[in-house]
Amino acid sequence: MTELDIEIDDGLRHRAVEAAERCVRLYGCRLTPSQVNGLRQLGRLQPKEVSNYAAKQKLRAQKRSQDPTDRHAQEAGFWDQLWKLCNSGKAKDLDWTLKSALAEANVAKGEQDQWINDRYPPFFQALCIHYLYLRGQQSPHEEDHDD
Amino acid sequence: MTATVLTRAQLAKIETYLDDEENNSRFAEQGSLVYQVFRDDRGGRDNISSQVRNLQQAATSATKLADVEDFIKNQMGKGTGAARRWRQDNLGETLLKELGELRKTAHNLAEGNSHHEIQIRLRLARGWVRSVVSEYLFRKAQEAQDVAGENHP
Repeated sequence: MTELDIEIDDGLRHRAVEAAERCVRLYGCRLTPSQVNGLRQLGRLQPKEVSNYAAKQKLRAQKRSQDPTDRHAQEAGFWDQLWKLCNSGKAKDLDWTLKSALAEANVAKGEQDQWINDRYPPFFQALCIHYLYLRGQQSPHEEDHDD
Repeated sequence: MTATVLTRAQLAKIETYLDDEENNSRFAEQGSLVYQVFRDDRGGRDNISSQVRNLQQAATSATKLADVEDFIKNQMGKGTGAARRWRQDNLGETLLKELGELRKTAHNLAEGNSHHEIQIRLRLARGWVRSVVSEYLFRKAQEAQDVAGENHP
């Protein structure tokens, strides 16, 4: 049992659950299960790409949005939160991010990729699973047929 | 260097917790709820619900308690008929709540050693799943016996 396993089962998981709950609280459950599963897969296979993907998805949703309260605007909000988790330091409305955790871990430059490869996959897995779990609670009768 | 192997005293405490009458009866109630929800599932030659089999498999192959929690949340989050049943009668929530209790118990038994804590969580989760599934199987066997009795009066 490594320190990393402990970190994943405790702190990181707790942060991922918090992040999913914040996204749902702020923007509702606007993503489809396919989108969430896509994010989960990207987090697992190409963790460093999550940030770019979130930025692109945000732009795409913003282009579709007609009104700041419509579902596309809310979807853009979700992707914005995700981008911030990867790229922002701590802020007034965000007391923890992956970037701030990396900075606090004092990881040497050459080992930062490894840090990301170790932590992003379990983080995004926990976030996505919790998001879908919350989504299931909010729309229990909706079938998605993508599993 | 932190000692990562659980002590005999800790192993004994885990067994005591799992064997405790009150805990056991709660686990049995949960197994009974699992049976109520998945009783009509027919899977494989042994007629065991694939949901129950997968829950057991998730606990057996888990490397951390979160894997078991994720399995349940994942099943509840799917937009399928199985997900509806995991949410039926509060089943998924009840099991997740119990896993939360096991986390707290592991914290107390580990006495500040996080390496021990994560192992204790896993042992508790596996013991708990064993109890829940045993109750499900027991009820399944009872049902089969009742049906056989009806067919051969």
